[in-house]
Amino acid sequence: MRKHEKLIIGFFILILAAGIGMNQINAGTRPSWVHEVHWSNMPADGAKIEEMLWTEISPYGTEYETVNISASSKGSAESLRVIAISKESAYPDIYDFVYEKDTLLLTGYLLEAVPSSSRNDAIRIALENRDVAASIAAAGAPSVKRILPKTSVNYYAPKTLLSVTWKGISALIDPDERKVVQVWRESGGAK
Amino acid sequence: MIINRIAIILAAMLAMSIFAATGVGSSIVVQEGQAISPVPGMEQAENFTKLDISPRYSNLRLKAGENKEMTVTVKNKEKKTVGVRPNILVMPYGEQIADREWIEVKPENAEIPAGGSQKFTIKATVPKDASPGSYPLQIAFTDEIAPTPYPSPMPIYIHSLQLSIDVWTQPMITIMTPYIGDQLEAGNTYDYEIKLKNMGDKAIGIDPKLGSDMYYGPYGPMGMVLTDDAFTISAPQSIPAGATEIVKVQVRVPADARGYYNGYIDLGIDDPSVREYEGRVGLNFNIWKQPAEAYVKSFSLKESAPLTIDVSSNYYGSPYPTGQRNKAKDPSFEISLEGPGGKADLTLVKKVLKGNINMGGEIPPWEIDSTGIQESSTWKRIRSTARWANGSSRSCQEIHRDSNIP
Repeated sequence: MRKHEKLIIGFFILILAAGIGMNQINAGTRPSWVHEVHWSNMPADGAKIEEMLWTEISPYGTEYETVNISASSKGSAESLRVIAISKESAYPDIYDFVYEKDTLLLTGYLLEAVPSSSRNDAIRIALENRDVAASIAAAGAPSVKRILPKTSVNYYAPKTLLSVTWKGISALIDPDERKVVQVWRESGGAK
Repeated sequence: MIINRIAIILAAMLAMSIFAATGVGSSIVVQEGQAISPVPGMEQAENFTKLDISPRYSNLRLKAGENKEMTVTVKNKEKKTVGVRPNILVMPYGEQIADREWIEVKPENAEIPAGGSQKFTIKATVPKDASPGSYPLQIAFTDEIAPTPYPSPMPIYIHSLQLSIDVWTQPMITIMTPYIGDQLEAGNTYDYEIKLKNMGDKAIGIDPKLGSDMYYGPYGPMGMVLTDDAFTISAPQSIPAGATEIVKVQVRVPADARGYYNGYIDLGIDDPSVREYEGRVGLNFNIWKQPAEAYVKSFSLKESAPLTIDVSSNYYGSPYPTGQRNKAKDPSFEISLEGPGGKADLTLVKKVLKGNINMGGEIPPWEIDSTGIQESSTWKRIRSTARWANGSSRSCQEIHRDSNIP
Protein backbone atom coordinates (compact mmCIF):
# COMPACT_ATOMS: atom_id res chain seq x y z
CA MET A 1 0.00 0.00 0.00
CA ARG A 2 1.39 3.35 -1.01
CA LYS A 3 1.92 6.19 1.42
CA HIS A 4 -0.89 8.40 0.11
CA GLU A 5 -3.33 5.41 0.24
CA LYS A 6 -2.44 4.93 3.90
CA LEU A 7 -3.00 8.63 4.57
CA ILE A 8 -6.42 8.64 2.88
CA ILE A 9 -7.54 5.50 4.74
CA GLY A 10 -6.27 6.89 8.04
CA PHE A 11 -8.18 10.12 7.43
CA PHE A 12 -11.44 8.24 6.75
CA ILE A 13 -10.96 6.07 9.85
CA LEU A 14 -10.65 9.23 11.92
CA ILE A 15 -13.80 10.75 10.40
CA LEU A 16 -15.80 7.53 10.89
CA ALA A 17 -14.64 7.10 14.46
CA ALA A 18 -15.45 10.71 15.29
CA GLY A 19 -18.85 10.41 13.61
CA ILE A 20 -19.79 7.25 15.46
CA GLY A 21 -18.56 8.71 18.73
CA MET A 22 -20.52 11.94 18.32
CA ASN A 23 -23.62 10.00 17.35
CA GLN A 24 -23.41 7.93 20.53
CA ILE A 25 -23.00 10.99 22.74
CA ASN A 26 -25.84 13.00 21.23
CA ALA A 27 -28.31 10.13 20.84
CA GLY A 28 -27.69 8.75 24.28
CA THR A 29 -27.82 11.79 26.49
CA ARG A 30 -29.52 15.07 25.64
CA PRO A 31 -33.32 14.95 25.39
CA SER A 32 -35.19 16.76 22.64
CA TRP A 33 -36.73 19.25 25.09
CA VAL A 34 -33.34 20.77 25.91
CA HIS A 35 -31.94 23.09 23.27
CA GLU A 36 -28.75 24.48 24.81
CA VAL A 37 -26.64 23.45 27.78
CA HIS A 38 -23.97 25.60 29.42
CA TRP A 39 -21.66 24.41 32.15
CA SER A 40 -19.81 26.48 34.68
CA ASN A 41 -16.92 24.68 36.45
CA MET A 42 -17.72 21.40 34.72
CA PRO A 43 -16.26 18.54 36.77
CA ALA A 44 -14.35 15.64 35.25
CA ASP A 45 -17.42 13.40 35.21
CA GLY A 46 -19.66 16.21 33.92
CA ALA A 47 -20.89 14.17 30.95
CA LYS A 48 -22.03 11.39 33.26
CA ILE A 49 -23.72 13.86 35.61
CA GLU A 50 -25.45 15.51 32.68
CA GLU A 51 -26.81 12.18 31.47
CA MET A 52 -28.22 11.48 34.94
CA LEU A 53 -29.61 14.99 35.13
CA TRP A 54 -31.93 14.46 32.16
CA THR A 55 -33.75 11.73 34.05
CA GLU A 56 -34.20 13.99 37.08
CA ILE A 57 -35.43 17.24 35.56
CA SER A 58 -38.09 18.01 33.01
CA PRO A 59 -39.99 21.10 31.88
CA TYR A 60 -43.70 21.59 32.52
CA GLY A 61 -45.78 22.08 29.40
CA THR A 62 -42.86 23.66 27.58
CA GLU A 63 -39.26 23.04 26.53
CA TYR A 64 -36.03 24.34 28.02
CA GLU A 65 -34.28 26.79 25.72
CA THR A 66 -31.20 26.97 27.92
CA VAL A 67 -30.03 24.89 30.85
CA ASN A 68 -27.21 26.43 32.89
CA ILE A 69 -25.40 24.04 35.19
CA SER A 70 -22.95 25.42 37.72
CA ALA A 71 -20.89 23.08 39.85
CA SER A 72 -18.86 23.59 42.99
CA SER A 73 -16.84 20.97 44.85
CA LYS A 74 -17.40 20.28 48.51
CA GLY A 75 -15.01 17.52 49.52
CA SER A 76 -15.83 14.43 47.49
CA ALA A 77 -19.25 15.80 46.54
CA GLU A 78 -20.24 18.18 43.78
CA SER A 79 -22.97 20.74 44.46
CA LEU A 80 -24.90 21.54 41.35
CA ARG A 81 -27.30 24.36 40.67
CA VAL A 82 -29.33 23.94 37.51
CA ILE A 83 -31.19 26.94 36.11
CA ALA A 84 -33.45 26.06 33.21
CA ILE A 85 -35.00 28.79 31.12
CA SER A 86 -38.05 28.45 28.91
CA LYS A 87 -39.32 30.80 26.21
CA GLU A 88 -42.84 30.59 27.57
CA SER A 89 -42.17 31.85 31.07
CA ALA A 90 -40.44 34.86 32.57
CA TYR A 91 -39.34 32.73 35.51
CA PRO A 92 -36.79 29.90 35.52
CA ASP A 93 -36.86 26.42 36.96
CA ILE A 94 -34.09 26.08 39.56
CA TYR A 95 -32.87 22.74 40.86
CA ASP A 96 -30.19 21.98 43.46
CA PHE A 97 -28.40 18.64 43.36
CA VAL A 98 -25.58 16.93 45.15
CA TYR A 99 -23.54 14.40 43.18
CA GLU A 100 -21.45 11.93 45.14
CA LYS A 101 -20.35 8.35 44.53
CA ASP A 102 -22.24 7.99 41.25
CA THR A 103 -25.47 9.19 42.87
CA LEU A 104 -27.31 12.35 41.96
CA LEU A 105 -29.58 13.60 44.71
CA LEU A 106 -32.14 16.39 44.28
CA THR A 107 -31.82 18.56 47.39
CA GLY A 108 -34.10 21.44 46.47
CA TYR A 109 -36.12 23.02 43.72
CA LEU A 110 -37.97 26.20 42.85
CA LEU A 111 -39.88 25.61 39.64
CA GLU A 112 -41.60 28.69 38.27
CA ALA A 113 -41.14 28.08 34.53
CA VAL A 114 -44.85 27.51 34.06
CA PRO A 115 -46.27 28.63 30.70
CA SER A 116 -48.53 31.64 31.05
CA SER A 117 -51.66 29.72 30.00
CA SER A 118 -51.10 27.10 32.72
CA ARG A 119 -50.14 29.81 35.20
CA ASN A 120 -53.26 31.85 34.55
CA ASP A 121 -55.40 28.75 34.69
CA ALA A 122 -53.93 27.76 38.07
CA ILE A 123 -54.69 31.23 39.44
CA ARG A 124 -58.24 30.98 38.14
CA ILE A 125 -58.72 27.59 39.83
CA ALA A 126 -57.29 28.98 43.08
CA LEU A 127 -59.66 31.93 42.97
CA GLU A 128 -62.64 29.60 42.58
CA ASN A 129 -61.99 28.61 46.19
CA ARG A 130 -63.96 30.97 48.37
CA ASP A 131 -61.48 30.87 51.26
CA VAL A 132 -58.67 31.88 48.96
CA ALA A 133 -60.66 34.53 47.11
CA ALA A 134 -61.88 36.07 50.34
CA SER A 135 -58.39 36.25 51.76
CA ILE A 136 -56.51 37.80 48.91
CA ALA A 137 -59.10 40.22 47.48
CA ALA A 138 -57.06 42.30 45.03
CA ALA A 139 -53.67 41.31 46.41
CA GLY A 140 -51.86 41.41 43.10
CA ALA A 141 -50.19 38.64 41.16
CA PRO A 142 -49.31 35.49 43.08
CA SER A 143 -46.39 33.15 42.49
CA VAL A 144 -47.15 29.88 40.71
CA LYS A 145 -44.72 27.07 41.46
CA ARG A 146 -44.63 23.49 40.27
CA ILE A 147 -44.59 20.94 43.08
CA LEU A 148 -42.98 17.64 42.21
CA PRO A 149 -44.66 14.30 43.01
CA LYS A 150 -42.05 13.42 45.63
CA THR A 151 -43.31 16.40 47.64
CA SER A 152 -46.98 16.39 46.72
CA VAL A 153 -47.39 12.76 47.81
CA ASN A 154 -47.29 14.13 51.37
CA TYR A 155 -50.17 16.52 50.76
CA TYR A 156 -52.38 14.87 48.16
CA ALA A 157 -51.05 12.28 45.68
CA PRO A 158 -47.78 11.45 43.92
CA LYS A 159 -48.36 13.72 40.95
CA THR A 160 -47.29 17.12 39.68
CA LEU A 161 -49.27 19.90 41.35
CA LEU A 162 -49.14 23.69 41.21
CA SER A 163 -48.84 25.95 44.23
CA VAL A 164 -50.48 29.36 43.87
CA THR A 165 -49.25 31.61 46.66
CA TRP A 166 -50.11 35.10 47.78
CA LYS A 167 -48.70 36.63 50.92
CA GLY A 168 -50.00 34.58 53.81
CA ILE A 169 -52.12 32.14 51.81
CA SER A 170 -51.48 29.41 49.31
CA ALA A 171 -53.60 27.00 47.29
CA LEU A 172 -52.33 23.65 46.10
CA ILE A 173 -53.89 22.88 42.72
CA ASP A 174 -54.37 19.60 40.89
CA PRO A 175 -54.23 20.82 37.28
CA ASP A 176 -55.58 17.54 35.86
CA GLU A 177 -58.67 17.54 38.02
CA ARG A 178 -58.83 21.34 38.02
CA LYS A 179 -59.41 21.68 41.74
CA VAL A 180 -57.87 23.06 44.92
CA VAL A 181 -56.67 20.13 46.99
CA GLN A 182 -55.17 22.00 49.96
CA VAL A 183 -55.24 25.54 51.33
CA TRP A 184 -52.55 26.88 53.64
CA ARG A 185 -52.63 30.04 55.70
CA GLU A 186 -49.70 31.65 57.45
CA SER A 187 -49.55 30.26 61.00
CA GLY A 188 -52.67 28.29 60.23
CA GLY A 189 -51.29 25.19 58.56
CA ALA A 190 -52.90 23.34 55.68
CA LYS A 191 -56.55 22.34 55.74
CA MET B 1 -7.02 0.27 -9.05
CA ILE B 2 -6.13 2.45 -6.13
CA ILE B 3 -9.66 3.88 -5.99
CA ASN B 4 -11.21 0.39 -6.14
CA ARG B 5 -9.06 -0.79 -3.26
CA ILE B 6 -9.94 2.24 -1.21
CA ALA B 7 -13.65 1.73 -1.97
CA ILE B 8 -13.53 -1.92 -0.85
CA ILE B 9 -11.72 -1.00 2.38
CA LEU B 10 -14.18 1.82 3.11
CA ALA B 11 -17.20 -0.43 2.46
CA ALA B 12 -15.79 -3.01 4.88
CA MET B 13 -15.16 -0.32 7.51
CA LEU B 14 -18.66 1.07 7.07
CA ALA B 15 -20.21 -2.37 7.49
CA MET B 16 -18.19 -2.95 10.67
CA SER B 17 -19.19 0.43 12.09
CA ILE B 18 -22.88 -0.33 11.47
CA PHE B 19 -22.58 -3.61 13.40
CA ALA B 20 -20.74 -1.76 16.15
CA ALA B 21 -23.43 0.91 16.41
CA THR B 22 -26.36 -1.52 16.53
CA GLY B 23 -24.62 -3.54 19.20
CA VAL B 24 -24.53 -0.58 21.56
CA GLY B 25 -28.29 -0.17 21.73
CA SER B 26 -29.20 -3.78 22.59
CA SER B 27 -26.84 -5.03 25.19
CA ILE B 28 -29.39 -7.22 27.02
CA VAL B 29 -30.59 -10.38 25.37
CA VAL B 30 -33.59 -12.34 26.60
CA GLN B 31 -33.06 -16.02 25.98
CA GLU B 32 -35.79 -17.90 24.17
CA GLY B 33 -38.04 -19.83 26.55
CA GLN B 34 -36.86 -17.91 29.57
CA ALA B 35 -39.79 -17.04 31.82
CA ILE B 36 -40.47 -13.35 32.44
CA SER B 37 -42.43 -13.56 35.63
CA PRO B 38 -43.46 -10.29 37.22
CA VAL B 39 -43.63 -10.46 40.96
CA PRO B 40 -47.16 -11.17 42.29
CA GLY B 41 -49.12 -8.15 43.42
CA MET B 42 -50.82 -7.31 46.71
CA GLU B 43 -48.99 -9.74 48.96
CA GLN B 44 -45.73 -8.06 47.92
CA ALA B 45 -46.75 -4.75 49.44
CA GLU B 46 -44.27 -4.92 52.30
CA ASN B 47 -41.64 -6.91 50.50
CA PHE B 48 -41.39 -5.28 47.14
CA THR B 49 -38.69 -5.73 44.57
CA LYS B 50 -36.05 -3.02 44.80
CA LEU B 51 -35.98 -1.37 41.41
CA ASP B 52 -35.04 2.24 40.69
CA ILE B 53 -37.14 3.79 37.95
CA SER B 54 -35.68 6.99 36.60
CA PRO B 55 -37.45 9.23 35.80
CA ARG B 56 -40.66 8.36 37.57
CA TYR B 57 -42.62 11.27 36.12
CA SER B 58 -42.40 12.95 32.78
CA ASN B 59 -44.48 14.92 30.38
CA LEU B 60 -44.13 15.18 26.64
CA ARG B 61 -45.52 18.18 24.81
CA LEU B 62 -46.50 17.32 21.29
CA LYS B 63 -48.58 18.73 18.49
CA ALA B 64 -51.01 16.38 16.75
CA GLY B 65 -49.08 14.22 14.27
CA GLU B 66 -45.75 14.59 16.10
CA ASN B 67 -43.75 11.96 17.93
CA LYS B 68 -41.05 12.08 20.55
CA GLU B 69 -38.82 9.62 22.35
CA MET B 70 -37.59 9.48 25.90
CA THR B 71 -35.46 7.06 27.88
CA VAL B 72 -36.28 5.42 31.18
CA THR B 73 -33.65 3.58 33.17
CA VAL B 74 -34.60 0.66 35.42
CA LYS B 75 -31.89 -0.26 37.89
CA ASN B 76 -32.02 -3.56 39.74
CA LYS B 77 -30.96 -3.14 43.36
CA GLU B 78 -31.71 -6.74 44.25
CA LYS B 79 -29.10 -9.47 44.60
CA LYS B 80 -30.82 -11.58 41.95
CA THR B 81 -31.93 -11.17 38.36
CA VAL B 82 -35.33 -9.51 37.97
CA GLY B 83 -37.60 -9.78 34.93
CA VAL B 84 -39.52 -6.69 33.85
CA ARG B 85 -42.17 -6.30 31.20
CA PRO B 86 -43.42 -2.72 30.62
CA ASN B 87 -47.19 -2.49 30.62
CA ILE B 88 -48.88 0.61 29.17
CA LEU B 89 -51.88 1.75 31.22
CA VAL B 90 -54.33 4.40 30.09
CA MET B 91 -55.45 6.48 33.05
CA PRO B 92 -59.21 6.91 33.35
CA TYR B 93 -58.99 10.43 34.78
CA GLY B 94 -57.69 13.56 33.19
CA GLU B 95 -58.79 15.89 30.50
CA GLN B 96 -58.45 13.40 27.65
CA ILE B 97 -58.13 9.63 27.31
CA ALA B 98 -55.11 8.42 25.36
CA ASP B 99 -54.82 5.21 23.36
CA ARG B 100 -52.31 2.51 24.26
CA GLU B 101 -51.19 2.45 20.65
CA TRP B 102 -49.73 5.93 21.01
CA ILE B 103 -46.92 4.43 23.08
CA GLU B 104 -44.23 2.05 21.99
CA VAL B 105 -41.72 0.73 24.54
CA LYS B 106 -38.50 -1.00 23.53
CA PRO B 107 -37.36 -3.53 24.51
CA GLU B 108 -40.69 -5.22 25.26
CA ASN B 109 -39.17 -7.07 28.20
CA ALA B 110 -35.84 -7.59 29.87
CA GLU B 111 -34.02 -9.64 32.45
CA ILE B 112 -31.97 -7.27 34.56
CA PRO B 113 -29.08 -8.91 36.40
CA ALA B 114 -28.36 -8.11 40.05
CA GLY B 115 -26.95 -4.59 40.28
CA GLY B 116 -27.48 -4.03 36.57
CA SER B 117 -29.68 -1.56 34.76
CA GLN B 118 -31.71 -1.50 31.57
CA LYS B 119 -32.67 1.48 29.43
CA PHE B 120 -36.11 1.48 27.85
CA THR B 121 -36.95 3.78 24.97
CA ILE B 122 -40.47 5.13 25.07
CA LYS B 123 -41.78 6.56 21.83
CA ALA B 124 -45.00 8.57 21.96
CA THR B 125 -46.80 9.20 18.68
CA VAL B 126 -49.83 11.46 18.65
CA PRO B 127 -52.31 10.88 15.80
CA LYS B 128 -53.02 13.78 13.45
CA ASP B 129 -56.64 13.97 14.59
CA ALA B 130 -55.91 14.08 18.35
CA SER B 131 -57.65 16.87 20.24
CA PRO B 132 -55.60 19.29 22.32
CA GLY B 133 -55.41 18.39 25.99
CA SER B 134 -53.59 16.45 28.64
CA TYR B 135 -53.47 12.65 28.25
CA PRO B 136 -52.30 10.84 31.40
CA LEU B 137 -50.68 7.41 31.06
CA GLN B 138 -48.77 5.06 33.28
CA ILE B 139 -46.08 2.60 32.27
CA ALA B 140 -45.75 -0.13 34.88
CA PHE B 141 -42.55 -2.16 34.68
CA THR B 142 -43.84 -4.86 37.05
CA ASP B 143 -47.32 -5.56 38.40
CA GLU B 144 -46.38 -4.93 42.05
CA ILE B 145 -48.96 -2.68 43.65
CA ALA B 146 -48.60 -0.33 46.62
CA PRO B 147 -51.11 -0.74 49.43
CA THR B 148 -53.37 2.26 50.04
CA PRO B 149 -55.14 3.06 53.29
CA TYR B 150 -58.05 4.41 51.24
CA PRO B 151 -59.85 3.15 48.13
CA SER B 152 -57.95 4.13 45.02
CA PRO B 153 -59.60 4.46 41.60
CA MET B 154 -56.48 2.96 40.01
CA PRO B 155 -53.89 0.62 41.50
CA ILE B 156 -50.66 2.40 42.35
CA TYR B 157 -47.91 0.48 40.63
CA ILE B 158 -44.65 0.63 42.57
CA HIS B 159 -42.35 0.40 39.56
CA SER B 160 -43.96 2.82 37.19
CA LEU B 161 -43.47 5.93 35.12
CA GLN B 162 -46.26 8.51 35.21
CA LEU B 163 -46.38 10.03 31.77
CA SER B 164 -48.50 12.95 30.67
CA ILE B 165 -48.76 13.75 26.99
CA ASP B 166 -49.78 17.35 26.44
CA VAL B 167 -51.20 17.71 22.96
CA TRP B 168 -51.27 21.33 21.95
CA THR B 169 -51.68 23.65 19.03
CA GLN B 170 -50.49 27.22 18.93
CA PRO B 171 -53.44 29.40 20.07
CA MET B 172 -54.05 32.27 17.70
CA ILE B 173 -55.57 34.48 20.38
CA THR B 174 -53.56 35.84 23.30
CA ILE B 175 -55.63 36.94 26.28
CA MET B 176 -53.67 39.88 27.65
CA THR B 177 -55.96 40.28 30.69
CA PRO B 178 -56.35 36.76 32.08
CA TYR B 179 -58.26 37.71 35.21
CA ILE B 180 -59.89 40.71 36.84
CA GLY B 181 -59.74 41.32 40.58
CA ASP B 182 -60.89 44.38 42.50
CA GLN B 183 -62.57 45.78 45.57
CA LEU B 184 -65.97 47.18 44.65
CA GLU B 185 -67.99 49.64 46.65
CA ALA B 186 -71.69 48.82 46.82
CA GLY B 187 -73.80 51.18 44.70
CA ASN B 188 -70.99 52.09 42.30
CA THR B 189 -70.26 51.18 38.70
CA TYR B 190 -66.91 49.94 37.45
CA ASP B 191 -65.49 49.52 33.97
CA TYR B 192 -62.85 46.99 32.93
CA GLU B 193 -61.11 46.11 29.72
CA ILE B 194 -59.99 42.71 28.47
CA LYS B 195 -57.38 42.99 25.72
CA LEU B 196 -57.23 40.23 23.12
CA LYS B 197 -54.57 39.96 20.45
CA ASN B 198 -54.96 37.88 17.30
CA MET B 199 -51.56 36.46 16.38
CA GLY B 200 -52.91 34.55 13.37
CA ASP B 201 -53.40 35.42 9.74
CA LYS B 202 -57.19 35.35 9.68
CA ALA B 203 -60.00 36.91 11.69
CA ILE B 204 -61.25 34.91 14.68
CA GLY B 205 -64.78 35.23 16.04
CA ILE B 206 -65.50 35.82 19.72
CA ASP B 207 -68.73 35.67 21.70
CA PRO B 208 -68.07 36.63 25.34
CA LYS B 209 -70.63 35.50 27.90
CA LEU B 210 -70.74 35.43 31.65
CA GLY B 211 -69.98 31.96 33.04
CA SER B 212 -72.94 30.23 34.60
CA ASP B 213 -71.27 27.57 36.74
CA MET B 214 -72.70 27.26 40.21
CA TYR B 215 -70.20 27.90 43.00
CA TYR B 216 -70.08 25.09 45.53
CA GLY B 217 -69.12 26.01 49.07
CA PRO B 218 -68.58 23.70 52.03
CA TYR B 219 -72.35 23.23 52.56
CA GLY B 220 -73.47 22.96 48.94
CA PRO B 221 -74.32 25.45 46.19
CA MET B 222 -73.77 29.06 47.14
CA GLY B 223 -75.67 32.09 45.93
CA MET B 224 -73.81 34.76 44.03
CA VAL B 225 -73.61 38.26 45.49
CA LEU B 226 -73.81 39.66 41.94
CA THR B 227 -76.39 38.41 39.47
CA ASP B 228 -75.90 38.27 35.71
CA ASP B 229 -77.79 41.53 35.16
CA ALA B 230 -75.06 43.38 37.11
CA PHE B 231 -72.72 42.80 34.16
CA THR B 232 -72.71 44.35 30.71
CA ILE B 233 -70.25 42.92 28.24
CA SER B 234 -69.62 44.61 24.91
CA ALA B 235 -67.21 43.23 22.33
CA PRO B 236 -66.57 43.11 18.60
CA GLN B 237 -67.81 39.99 16.82
CA SER B 238 -64.34 39.10 15.66
CA ILE B 239 -60.70 40.10 15.99
CA PRO B 240 -59.00 40.84 12.67
CA ALA B 241 -55.68 39.16 11.87
CA GLY B 242 -52.81 40.82 13.74
CA ALA B 243 -55.11 43.20 15.61
CA THR B 244 -55.69 43.87 19.29
CA GLU B 245 -59.29 44.39 20.34
CA ILE B 246 -60.93 45.19 23.63
CA VAL B 247 -63.82 43.49 25.38
CA LYS B 248 -65.45 45.99 27.72
CA VAL B 249 -66.97 44.82 30.97
CA GLN B 250 -69.14 47.04 33.13
CA VAL B 251 -70.10 45.96 36.63
CA ARG B 252 -72.97 47.76 38.37
CA VAL B 253 -72.84 46.84 42.02
CA PRO B 254 -76.26 46.97 43.74
CA ALA B 255 -76.45 49.20 46.80
CA ASP B 256 -77.31 46.24 49.03
CA ALA B 257 -74.59 43.89 47.77
CA ARG B 258 -71.83 42.77 50.09
CA GLY B 259 -69.40 39.84 50.12
CA TYR B 260 -67.31 38.02 47.55
CA TYR B 261 -67.96 37.23 43.94
CA ASN B 262 -66.05 34.61 41.96
CA GLY B 263 -66.94 33.89 38.40
CA TYR B 264 -65.60 34.12 34.88
CA ILE B 265 -66.29 35.40 31.41
CA ASP B 266 -66.16 32.76 28.70
CA LEU B 267 -64.80 34.65 25.72
CA GLY B 268 -66.28 32.17 23.24
CA ILE B 269 -63.14 32.21 21.09
CA ASP B 270 -63.80 30.40 17.80
CA ASP B 271 -60.43 28.64 17.76
CA PRO B 272 -60.29 24.89 18.40
CA SER B 273 -56.74 25.22 19.74
CA VAL B 274 -58.08 27.16 22.74
CA ARG B 275 -59.30 24.72 25.39
CA GLU B 276 -62.58 25.54 27.04
CA TYR B 277 -61.06 26.81 30.28
CA GLU B 278 -58.24 28.64 28.49
CA GLY B 279 -60.74 30.97 26.84
CA ARG B 280 -61.93 32.29 30.18
CA VAL B 281 -61.19 35.42 32.17
CA GLY B 282 -61.56 34.95 35.92
CA LEU B 283 -63.54 37.49 37.94
CA ASN B 284 -62.83 38.00 41.61
CA PHE B 285 -64.49 40.85 43.46
CA ASN B 286 -64.65 41.86 47.09
CA ILE B 287 -67.72 44.03 47.55
CA TRP B 288 -67.75 46.43 50.45
CA LYS B 289 -70.15 49.00 51.76
CA GLN B 290 -69.58 52.30 53.49
CA PRO B 291 -70.77 51.93 57.11
CA ALA B 292 -74.03 53.82 57.62
CA GLU B 293 -73.06 54.94 61.09
CA ALA B 294 -69.79 56.23 62.48
CA TYR B 295 -67.72 54.11 64.81
CA VAL B 296 -67.68 55.76 68.23
CA LYS B 297 -65.26 55.03 71.03
CA SER B 298 -65.70 56.70 74.44
CA PHE B 299 -62.89 57.14 76.92
CA SER B 300 -62.01 59.30 79.89
CA LEU B 301 -58.84 61.07 81.05
CA LYS B 302 -57.85 61.52 84.68
CA GLU B 303 -55.87 64.69 83.99
CA SER B 304 -55.34 67.16 81.20
CA ALA B 305 -52.62 65.98 78.77
CA PRO B 306 -51.82 66.06 75.03
CA LEU B 307 -53.67 63.26 73.24
CA THR B 308 -52.64 61.34 70.13
CA ILE B 309 -55.13 59.18 68.23
CA ASP B 310 -53.80 56.50 65.85
CA VAL B 311 -56.20 55.21 63.20
CA SER B 312 -54.98 52.52 60.83
CA SER B 313 -56.28 50.48 57.94
CA ASN B 314 -55.37 46.81 57.59
CA TYR B 315 -55.93 46.53 53.84
CA TYR B 316 -53.00 44.58 52.44
CA GLY B 317 -54.16 44.32 48.86
CA SER B 318 -52.44 45.72 45.83
CA PRO B 319 -53.31 49.33 45.12
CA TYR B 320 -53.48 48.41 41.43
CA PRO B 321 -56.40 46.08 40.74
CA THR B 322 -55.97 43.79 37.76
CA GLY B 323 -57.76 44.47 34.49
CA GLN B 324 -58.75 47.90 35.66
CA ARG B 325 -58.69 51.54 34.94
CA ASN B 326 -57.32 53.55 37.86
CA LYS B 327 -55.62 53.14 41.15
CA ALA B 328 -57.91 51.74 43.83
CA LYS B 329 -59.30 54.14 46.36
CA ASP B 330 -56.95 54.71 49.31
CA PRO B 331 -58.52 54.06 52.71
CA SER B 332 -59.42 57.32 54.44
CA PHE B 333 -61.08 58.34 57.69
CA GLU B 334 -63.03 61.34 58.93
CA ILE B 335 -62.21 61.80 62.59
CA SER B 336 -63.76 64.04 65.19
CA LEU B 337 -63.22 64.36 68.94
CA GLU B 338 -65.87 65.59 71.27
CA GLY B 339 -65.49 66.28 74.96
CA PRO B 340 -67.27 68.13 77.75
CA GLY B 341 -66.14 71.38 76.12
CA GLY B 342 -67.56 70.50 72.69
CA LYS B 343 -65.60 69.59 69.54
CA ALA B 344 -61.83 69.71 69.71
CA ASP B 345 -59.53 70.86 66.93
CA LEU B 346 -57.51 67.93 65.59
CA THR B 347 -54.17 68.32 63.83
CA LEU B 348 -52.78 65.63 61.55
CA VAL B 349 -49.37 64.86 63.02
CA LYS B 350 -48.21 62.11 60.68
CA LYS B 351 -49.34 59.70 58.04
CA VAL B 352 -47.59 56.33 57.96
CA LEU B 353 -47.46 54.02 54.97
CA LYS B 354 -46.47 50.48 55.90
CA GLY B 355 -45.27 47.72 53.64
CA ASN B 356 -44.11 44.15 53.96
CA ILE B 357 -40.94 42.50 52.82
CA ASN B 358 -40.81 38.73 52.91
CA MET B 359 -37.33 37.72 54.03
CA GLY B 360 -38.08 34.01 54.13
CA GLY B 361 -40.93 33.95 56.59
CA GLU B 362 -43.50 31.22 56.63
CA ILE B 363 -44.07 29.41 53.40
CA PRO B 364 -46.59 26.72 52.49
CA PRO B 365 -45.36 23.27 53.58
CA TRP B 366 -45.44 22.01 49.98
CA GLU B 367 -42.95 24.74 49.00
CA ILE B 368 -40.44 23.63 51.63
CA ASP B 369 -38.11 22.20 48.97
CA SER B 370 -37.59 25.71 47.61
CA THR B 371 -36.41 27.15 50.94
CA GLY B 372 -32.69 26.86 50.30
CA ILE B 373 -32.99 28.35 46.84
CA GLN B 374 -35.12 31.29 47.95
CA GLU B 375 -32.81 32.08 50.86
CA SER B 376 -29.73 32.04 48.67
CA SER B 377 -31.28 34.36 46.11
CA THR B 378 -29.61 37.70 45.64
CA TRP B 379 -31.25 40.88 46.80
CA LYS B 380 -31.11 44.42 45.51
CA ARG B 381 -31.29 47.38 47.81
CA ILE B 382 -32.56 50.66 46.44
CA ARG B 383 -32.31 53.83 48.46
CA SER B 384 -34.92 56.49 47.96
CA THR B 385 -36.43 59.39 49.78
CA ALA B 386 -40.10 59.52 50.65
CA ARG B 387 -41.99 62.70 51.40
CA TRP B 388 -44.83 62.37 53.86
CA ALA B 389 -48.08 64.27 53.97
CA ASN B 390 -46.87 66.52 56.75
CA GLY B 391 -43.95 67.74 54.63
CA SER B 392 -41.20 65.79 56.35
CA SER B 393 -38.88 63.54 54.41
CA ARG B 394 -36.66 60.57 55.21
CA SER B 395 -34.42 58.06 53.56
CA CYS B 396 -35.95 54.67 52.76
CA GLN B 397 -34.77 51.36 51.43
CA GLU B 398 -36.61 49.04 49.11
CA ILE B 399 -35.44 45.48 48.87
CA HIS B 400 -36.13 43.46 45.76
CA ARG B 401 -35.42 39.84 45.09
CA ASP B 402 -33.48 39.48 41.89
CA SER B 403 -35.39 37.00 39.75
CA ASN B 404 -32.46 36.49 37.37
CA ILE B 405 -30.39 34.54 39.82
CA PRO B 406 -27.05 33.58 38.24
